[in-house]
Amino acid sequence: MALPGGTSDRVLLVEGPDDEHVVAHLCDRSRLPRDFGIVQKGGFSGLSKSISVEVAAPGRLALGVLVDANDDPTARWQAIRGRCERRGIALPIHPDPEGVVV
Amino acid sequence: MSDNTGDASLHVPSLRIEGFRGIDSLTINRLGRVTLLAGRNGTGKTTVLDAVRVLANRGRLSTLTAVLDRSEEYAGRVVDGETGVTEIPDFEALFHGRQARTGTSFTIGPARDAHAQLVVEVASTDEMPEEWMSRLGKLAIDTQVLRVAFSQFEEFVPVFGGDLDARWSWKPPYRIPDDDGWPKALRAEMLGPGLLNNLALDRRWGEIALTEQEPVALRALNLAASHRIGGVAVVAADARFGSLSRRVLVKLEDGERVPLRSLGDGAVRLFEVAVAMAGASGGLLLIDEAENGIHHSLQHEYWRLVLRAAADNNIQVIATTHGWDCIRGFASASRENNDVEGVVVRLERDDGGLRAVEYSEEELETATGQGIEVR
Repeated sequence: MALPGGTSDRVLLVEGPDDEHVVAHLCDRSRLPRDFGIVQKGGFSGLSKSISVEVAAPGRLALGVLVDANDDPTARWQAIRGRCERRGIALPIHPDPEGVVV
Repeated sequence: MSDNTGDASLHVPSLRIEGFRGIDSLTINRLGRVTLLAGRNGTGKTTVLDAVRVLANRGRLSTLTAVLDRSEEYAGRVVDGETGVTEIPDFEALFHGRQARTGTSFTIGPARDAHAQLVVEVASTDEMPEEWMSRLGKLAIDTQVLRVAFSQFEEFVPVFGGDLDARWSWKPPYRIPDDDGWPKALRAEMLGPGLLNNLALDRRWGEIALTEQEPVALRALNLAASHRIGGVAVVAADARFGSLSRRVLVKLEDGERVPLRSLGDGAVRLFEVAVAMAGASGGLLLIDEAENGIHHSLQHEYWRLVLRAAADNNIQVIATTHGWDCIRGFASASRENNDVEGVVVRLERDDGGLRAVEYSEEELETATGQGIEVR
């Protein structure tokens, strides 16, 4: 069983190692600061379930979510929306193509 | 959380505290059959336990005094040649900001039930019978009056501050109401972070020995003890330690009789909890720093004991913790006991004041499985 780690105040949740590499390369190539942690969740199910816990972690300032949109993106958006709702965070019914920041 | 209302069958399904000690305002929307309070030092976890204790005892002066005694909040003392030093509780310290002007109050109760709120307010001394105030005035004693209100009940209680003249009898010149006509209290047992001494263990054991609660406590103790314990006895200790000293002995399954303390701090803590659970039947059990003395490998069994005993004896348990092993053991035991709701609440202070972050069993399972901090 895991011990509590990932105490970064800004965290990006990703599904797996490929996603983490993509983000790391994007940051390097675009010279973006890597002032956030990246946490792999081993798939969408684990990621989705963790949202209401990750967003409430002590000291957390920002939480980002990166998910694969190939497989029924509407259902995935609704799942993420439901998890955020548990913490009183309201997301729009449909995702904004420009991105959503709440 | 999807369902934002506490279980109405619990003694305290939710909690709202206003103006009590270090807590300006706090709402916990949902408490479980067993609730674990987490959070950094100084966030107010123990104050929540004190608040629940005051609520359970409907604001009786004895409990207000016990809360102040626990944190050594004294306004003065009486030094008497016969009885020694008697500390005078600082009742102003019950109120947020330590301000106790007429009209200052604190409120404790369920989050959404106005009829079940306990209100303690600093009242005007005009509320006291003139004869009492006249006698106190002649003695130049700094007196304040507390109005205690719960549901339809209301009572005025005089309290004192500052040093008192020892020539004045410590016994107040009138009856301090405590039980006569006071609303029925909920049973509430409180265990502090340290281990009880043998006299305190004796007192608690004495309350349940040879009653139907004794086998309940033994069963609970044996759920998590590494030795099978067949019986408990409290005996007089060596005369060197004074006539009031006690030793707690346990009988192991091979018939050997050994001191409880020889089995280690963990066994003593489990004994305390088991006996307190038996004593709290139908009421509340409040445990400060619940993991103390319990090895991390026993945390699951420990919480299994608490969850089962809470459900079987209609006890609501509220405990505080700092430990990850404690939360992990609690989460796995809660998952195993589907019929007993276990909730974790973290208290945290931010710019908006004190707030409660509530975790359901499912969220707790995710947090412990993925190693996400909840404390």
